[in-house]
Parts: sequence; structure tokens; C-alpha cells
Amino acid sequence: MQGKLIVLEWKQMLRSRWLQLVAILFIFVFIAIVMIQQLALPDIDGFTRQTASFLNLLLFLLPLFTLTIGSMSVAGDVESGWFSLLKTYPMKTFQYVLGKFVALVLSFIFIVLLAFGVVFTFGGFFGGVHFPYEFLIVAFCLILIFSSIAILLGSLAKNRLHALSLSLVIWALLLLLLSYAVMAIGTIVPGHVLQKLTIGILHINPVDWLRFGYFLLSGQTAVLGPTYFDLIEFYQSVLGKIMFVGLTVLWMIIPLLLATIKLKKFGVEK
Amino acid sequence: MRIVYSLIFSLLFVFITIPVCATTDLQQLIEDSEEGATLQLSSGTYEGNFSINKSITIVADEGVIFKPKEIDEPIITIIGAKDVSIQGLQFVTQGTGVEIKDSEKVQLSDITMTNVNSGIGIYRSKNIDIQNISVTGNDRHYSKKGNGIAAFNSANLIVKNNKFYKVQDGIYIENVKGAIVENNKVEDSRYGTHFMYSEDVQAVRNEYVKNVTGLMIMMTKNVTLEQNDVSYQDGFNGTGITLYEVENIDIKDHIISGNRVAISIQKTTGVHIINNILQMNQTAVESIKSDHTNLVEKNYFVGNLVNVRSDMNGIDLKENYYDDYSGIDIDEDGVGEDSYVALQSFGQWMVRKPVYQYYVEAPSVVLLNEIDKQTNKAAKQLLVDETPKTTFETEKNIQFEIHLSQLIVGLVLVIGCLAIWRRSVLS
Repeated sequence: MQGKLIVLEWKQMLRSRWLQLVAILFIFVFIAIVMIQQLALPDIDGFTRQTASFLNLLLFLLPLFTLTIGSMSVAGDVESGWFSLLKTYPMKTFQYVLGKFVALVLSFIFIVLLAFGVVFTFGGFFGGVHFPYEFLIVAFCLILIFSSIAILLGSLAKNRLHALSLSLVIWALLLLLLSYAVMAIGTIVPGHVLQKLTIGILHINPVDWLRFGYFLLSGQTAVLGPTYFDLIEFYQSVLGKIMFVGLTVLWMIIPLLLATIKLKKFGVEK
Repeated sequence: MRIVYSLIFSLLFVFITIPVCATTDLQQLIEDSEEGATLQLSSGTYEGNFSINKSITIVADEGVIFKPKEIDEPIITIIGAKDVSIQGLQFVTQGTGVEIKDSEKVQLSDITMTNVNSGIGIYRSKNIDIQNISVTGNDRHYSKKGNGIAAFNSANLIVKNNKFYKVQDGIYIENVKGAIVENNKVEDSRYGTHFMYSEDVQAVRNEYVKNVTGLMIMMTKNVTLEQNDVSYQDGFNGTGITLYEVENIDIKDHIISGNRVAISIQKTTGVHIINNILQMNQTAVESIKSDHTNLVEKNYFVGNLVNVRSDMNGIDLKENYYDDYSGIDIDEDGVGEDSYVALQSFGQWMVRKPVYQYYVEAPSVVLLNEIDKQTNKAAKQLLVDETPKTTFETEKNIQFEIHLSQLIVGLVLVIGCLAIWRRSVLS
């Protein structure tokens, strides 16, 4: 039953015009950045403008698309009565949530792989493009975490429009508003307070968390500056690495569990 | 007549080369030699701490190794001597290789030192020429090891064609008048070349890679830096070139790439940065507490995260090329019609509070910078280049060239994904 649900959901996702448009947009932007920047700028290792562009492309677009499509998919199921119908089958709510999650993750991994494929094909004609593997890991983690959050948002929304607005608010909050808030506070508090605040926000904002993860993975933590030396040293230790993986996994699991609880209550309320 | 014979004999002795083998008491031989004698060392290991206080030339065959008897003492000390030349030795010591004190016209060349604490120390000497030396230090922390070459209170120093790895500072020059540092390579060290309290010094065509700082220049006057390659000083405090309380310095024709900060100017006057390529650095030029005698002119800023940042004093910019300049050149004279404003709110914050660096090129900051670009167009006060160049002669050309493995991976991914998609949609 679980497998069938995943296959069904995945097929529905791939057939969705929205997802197809998202795929085209993602691939287009990806190629534009690669061709304009990578082939025009000198080949220099480290955290350069081109690596920053790649990272920001992933951080901007993947959460946005995952959140909107994922949350609207769940909200649409509830709104259309499909979820109520599914509940008449011998299937637990968590199985439904997991099925949605896996289908969403597979769909976006599909898009990312297709985008990489097109970029490599283009790059293959122009002497090859340098593409660090860390981006692939960050992309997969983004998809996993934001698919999970998307399903939670979908379960909280009353309808598809509500899901869309919720997704946009959360996306803006995590990508922009939290950072701006911290930066603004930083202008009136001492540096050490700002440092602690930044470290705190880093742990509760998955975008910051995965950006930090990219620096750890790529060995470019020096970009963050000497102020964060202790934090970086901790996360480069074995305990730190375990904690990093643990927290990343928690970011995937907790929203799914909350979504399950919410959808179970939905059944009771009905 | 006797005097004439004696004179002829002495002259012959000076010009005759004395062959030396490893079993000879080298120190005794040095002491017994006449002024200006030449010792030709044959291969073997020479153990001891040798002192030279006269004019002498030591030339070594291949495979001459020097080891110290007392590890805390330098292997060779040249003290109070004039016209000394040492060539072709290999030093194996955990201490210091050579010390030159109160001497003149000393030439060291073709010397290799491995696993040393420090290479060559020069004190109160003049006309010192050091060429083709290789110094490899140890893996200890920078604070617990010495320099490749360190010169103090000296004059007229030439350091050419040398290589330094894993030392504290590759070339440390303190209170020296007249030094030429040319064509050296310093890697994995604290500072590549470090000038302190010196005057009339120049560093030309050197390569500084993966050090904490490539060129550290402090409290020095009349400096010329030219055609150095300064790359990948990208550690927590990494800087390509740092100037602190420097007076009159020309920095020209460099390629400075991949550093955390390419050029950091602090409390410095009379800086002229001209015709450099500053590419792919996190910050290209940083200016703190410096004045308007400093000029950044005709440079190329390519792919840096932040091109120029400063405190409220700013720095003068003129005729530079900026790859993020969005103005146009209507009259095609190679200069944009609009000013380029390098001022970024975030860049300024980073100068004031380094803790902000965490957000460098974060999504929120990228957006903020874009807003800055629009709102700063009218700015005329700080970090403004009124004549930005619009052409970059060394721009990379896109060339058609097949990269087979990447092409195959790309095609497999594309065809595979399209096949899956088609199957899913049609079934």
C-alpha cells in the first residue's frame, strides 16, 4: 500500500504542470549561472562569487519550490477530500505523510539531477564545468528538510491558497527576515551578543544551518570569520559532526511527526 | 727579495683552492686559512658548529651535509667578516642554519635546509646576498618556529630565487635600509615577506601561496611591490597584502587571487595601488583609518564578493574595472558614463563589527546588496569611482572544447530523467 501510494503520488507530481514549469525554470537559471559565471570568471578554488551564486541559487529556489508545491499538494488532498478517501483504506496517517514526503523528495531529486545533467552536457561542450560535490549534498538536504516542512505547512493550511501563503511567509522568514532581524539587532547590541544571537539562529533556521553545513563540508569555514572559531572547531570534531547529522535528521523528522499529529486530529475533528 | 717571495706565496695561497674531505677538522682549517682562501668541500657529512671571521669562500661538491654538534647553536656563524661566500651545502638541523653578525659582503647560495627551526639570521650587517636557498621548517605552530631568513638592523640586502616552506615568516626584515626581495616562493608559512621598521625596500616577482598573510608590511617607508603572485591566503585571518602604518608604497602589476582579504590598508599614507588584477577574493580592498593620500587606480576587480570596503574615511578610486559595474559607455572611450559606487551597507558593517562576516554573501545579504546598488547610484561621497573602466583586456574567452566524461555523465542523466518522466506521464 505504502509503495503504491508513493508511486501514485510521484506520478502525479511529475504530471503536474507546476512542477514541470519549476523544473524548466530551475534548469534555465542553473545553466545561466554556470555559463555566464563559470565560463567567464577565472578558475579559482575557495568561496568565490561563483560558488556563492551556486549556493544561493540552491538556497533561494529549492526551499521556495519545495515548500509551495509540497504544501499545496497536501492541502489540496485535504481540500478535495482525497485525504478523507484515503483514510478509508487500511493505511495509517503516518504512511500517508511518509508517502507524500518520499514522492516529493523523489520529484525534486529528479529535477536537480536533470538540471545537473543539462549543466554537465552544456559544460561538456566547453571544456567541462567545475562543480563541487558539496552542492549535491546541500541540495539533497535542502530537499529533504523543506519537503518535510512543506508537508507540515500543508497539514496546517485550510486550503491550497492558505498553504501557498504560509509557504511564502515561512520561505521569506527563513531566507531573509530572520537574517535581517539579527543584523538589525546587531547594530544596537555589542558584538559578542550578536555572535551568540547568530549562533542561536543558526540552529533554528534550516537555511542558515545548511549554509553552515556547506562551509563545513567544503572546508571553507574561514569565510565565516575568526569570531566563530570555537563554533567551527566544535562542529569539526567527531561529537560536532554527530550533532550536525543528528540535528539535520531532526529537521527532517520533527515536521513529519507534527504533520502526522495534525492530520490525525483532522480526522477526529471531522 | 724575501718580502717579495713572501708576498707572491701569500697571493698564490689566496687563489689556490684547498680541497677538504669530511674527516678534516674544518674549523681548524678555516682558522688556519689566509684571508680570501677558497675551501672546496668533497661530499660527506661535516659535524660541528663552525665560526667564520675572515674573508673566505666555501664551495661544496654535491652531497655535502652539515650537522650541528650543539643543536642550540647555528651550524655556521659568520661574525665580523668581510667577503664571505658559501655555496652548495645541505643543512640538517632542528636549530638554525646560518647566522651572519656584524659582517659585510656575504654571499650565500645553493643551500638546502630541511626540518630546521630557522634558516638564516642576519644582524647588523650590510651588502648581504642570498640566492637559491631552500628552507623547509617543521610542523609546529608558527609561534614555535623561526623564520626562513630574518634580517635585523642591516643594510643593502638582496634575497633572490629562494624557496621557503612551513616557517614562521619566509623573509623577515626588520630595521633594514635597502632590501630587494625578488623571485622567491613562500608557502604554508605565517607571513610570506614581513617588512618592519624598514626603508627603501622592494618585493618583486615573488609567489606567496597559502600563508596567513602574503606580504605584511608594518611601519615601513618607501616600499615597492611589483608583479607578485599572491594567492589563497584564505584562513581565518588570511590577507594577501597587509599594510600597517606604512608611508609611500606602490603596489603594481600583481595578480591577487582567492584571498580572504586581498589588500588590507590600515593607518597608512601614500598608497598607490595600480594595474593589479584582484580576482575571486572575499574582499578585494579594505581600508581602515587611512587618509586620502591613498589611491586605487587602473585595477581590475573580477569575481570578488566585496570589491572595496572602508570606514568613514574611505579610499580614492579611479579608472578601475569592476565586473559588477552596470553603467554604459556611450562614447566608447572605455570609461563608463555613470560613477561606480563600491559602497555596500554590509561591507561597511563588516568593517565595524567583524561578527557580521558570518552573513557574507548569504541570500539576505545578496538581496541587500542589490538594493544598495539601486539606492547608492546617487551617492557621491564614499567609495565612488567617477571614471570606471568598462573593458577588461584579459577576459576569458569561451572556447569550444569537448570534456568527454562530463558530457557522457550529463547525457546519461538527461536521457535517463527524460525517459523516467515520459514513462511516468504516459503510463
